[in-house]
Amino acid sequence: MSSSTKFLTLKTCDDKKFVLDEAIAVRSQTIKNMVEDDCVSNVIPLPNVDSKTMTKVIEYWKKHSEEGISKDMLMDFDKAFVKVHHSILHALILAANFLNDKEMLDMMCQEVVDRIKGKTPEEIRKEFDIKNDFTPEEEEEIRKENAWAFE
Amino acid sequence: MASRKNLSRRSSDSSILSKKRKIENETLEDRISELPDGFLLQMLSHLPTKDAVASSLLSKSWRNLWTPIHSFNFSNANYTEVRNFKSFVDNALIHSTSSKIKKFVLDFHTILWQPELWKSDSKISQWINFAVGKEVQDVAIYAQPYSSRFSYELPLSMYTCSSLITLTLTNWVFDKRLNIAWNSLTSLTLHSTSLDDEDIVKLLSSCPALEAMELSFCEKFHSLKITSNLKRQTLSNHLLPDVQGNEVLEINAPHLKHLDISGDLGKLNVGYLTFSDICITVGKREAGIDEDDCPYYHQVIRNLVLDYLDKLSNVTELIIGSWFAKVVFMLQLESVILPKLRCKCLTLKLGVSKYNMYGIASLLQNLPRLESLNIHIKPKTYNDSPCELVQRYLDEVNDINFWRWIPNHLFPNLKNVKIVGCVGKCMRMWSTMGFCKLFKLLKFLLKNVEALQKLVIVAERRECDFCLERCVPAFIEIS
Repeated sequence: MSSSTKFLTLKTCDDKKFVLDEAIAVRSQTIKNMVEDDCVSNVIPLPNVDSKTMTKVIEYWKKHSEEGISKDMLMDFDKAFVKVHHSILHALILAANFLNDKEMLDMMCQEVVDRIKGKTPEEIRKEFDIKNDFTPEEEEEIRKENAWAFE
Repeated sequence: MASRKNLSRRSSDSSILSKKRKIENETLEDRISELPDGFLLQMLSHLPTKDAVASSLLSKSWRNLWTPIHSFNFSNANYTEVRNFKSFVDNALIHSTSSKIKKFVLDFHTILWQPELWKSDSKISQWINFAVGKEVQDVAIYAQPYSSRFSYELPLSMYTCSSLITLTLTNWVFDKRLNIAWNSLTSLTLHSTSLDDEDIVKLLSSCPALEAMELSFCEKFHSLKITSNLKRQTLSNHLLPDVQGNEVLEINAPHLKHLDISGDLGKLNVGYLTFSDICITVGKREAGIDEDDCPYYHQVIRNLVLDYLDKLSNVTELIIGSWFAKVVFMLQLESVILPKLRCKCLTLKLGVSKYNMYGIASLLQNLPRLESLNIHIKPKTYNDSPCELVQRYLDEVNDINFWRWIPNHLFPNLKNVKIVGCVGKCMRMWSTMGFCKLFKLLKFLLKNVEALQKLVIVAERRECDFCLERCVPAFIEIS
């Protein structure tokens, strides 16, 4: 259908520019809306996304736009893609939300869910560097109060 | 010049240092807790409710975060005492502050508790009433799907729950006296529920918005008349009362778009097929089919195929299996004229054998509107070797004259052909598994297509049980 490939330039908050095939960039509903409303001049600013995160996002978009890629190969890719430090996970969730890519957002959120599932509070704190700001007494009180939850 | 070089080096050194420090800081920072509450709530709603509640111990900011979760997923796995499980569900619901419930799942791993939970103080009814009161959309009650030892009725409120969109039930007892009104329900899945023909009619008329229905291990009914807007019907392991085999399940569904039928025919490896092979093989499942009975089975299936083709002439997407293809092949040789189907998308789940490939070629001639053809290759089993009867037919033809003899038919609309390799068998053995037959079929196709846009061959790479590697077929290279 598309005889000539159209390219878009995306500019991240740290002023890095990414030139991307429009067909790939419109995986972002946010960008798609801009393109459809014809409000795309030359450069699309992405004030909420930094270049490091955007590189990851584009890596994901490109893989998921590859022609003839099998479901299994995509699954393998996704599995490896989400195995990142939680600070990157955090950045990717916010980016996917801003770019309005539901598929990617759901996948990243699911990864957080999977990292919490079946773990003890101590293990979860360690996984996400969550600081336990309860005093031992407070923690004991919660455990007592909600004994039903921890039996 | 030199000094400037030094300067720049120094500055880059310091930038590396600051970067390092930044990374260290980042790794120590708790970013997840900083996510907007909406996200965290969404994540907590996706967790088993036990884990969601336990998050209150993480830190002060998580203390009461879970209480507005919109979905509940209760499982009695890991509970050693029914008392504790009851108290957990009760308390979780008491503390819940969400005004609406999206999803409510009760998953019973331990079947022993079920009578106690359902009957003694009808705890489960209270829980379900709570969910109904909060306009629950998705309900699933898993109660050991394939056991008929236990069954239950739902609380009355559930039958008129108009917010319900999807419902999954196992071992549910359908009560004829009830007036069900699931006006928003679009997807219904029932496992191990006994329904007769009347029940099916009643059930379908109670769900005017139903789009997808899945029935597995649902006994009794002979007839599935679907006149509503139902688009997708899945039937598996349907058990007809008379296992001796004179009964046939009749399906009449003019508006149906997807039909998926499979049977508990494991030993026979028949796969996706027609409506009554279940009744003719139950009881023989362990023994397999005796050679003596073979003509009889073929006759039954043959009649069904003829009947089936006629009835499905308006269905646009079909998934069919090996026996079907085999019978079509035999019909072709007998010069039986088959009806033309409107099918646009055909998915075949079968092993590679000569008669299957011939069967496909024969079948394709009756699908002039076909646009997409998917072939899922299943592992070859001993059952794929032709029985005496089929062998007799096979003897009549040999490769060369079959492909010539089959009328040169054009597929004017066929655009996509996709072949997916099997799982479970070692891919390295593909080449020894008679794939030349598949290629002959492909050659035949390619000769007769006009509009082909895409031919995809996918070798599913999964860990192989055989060579314990992610093997690929010997003749396919994957980068």
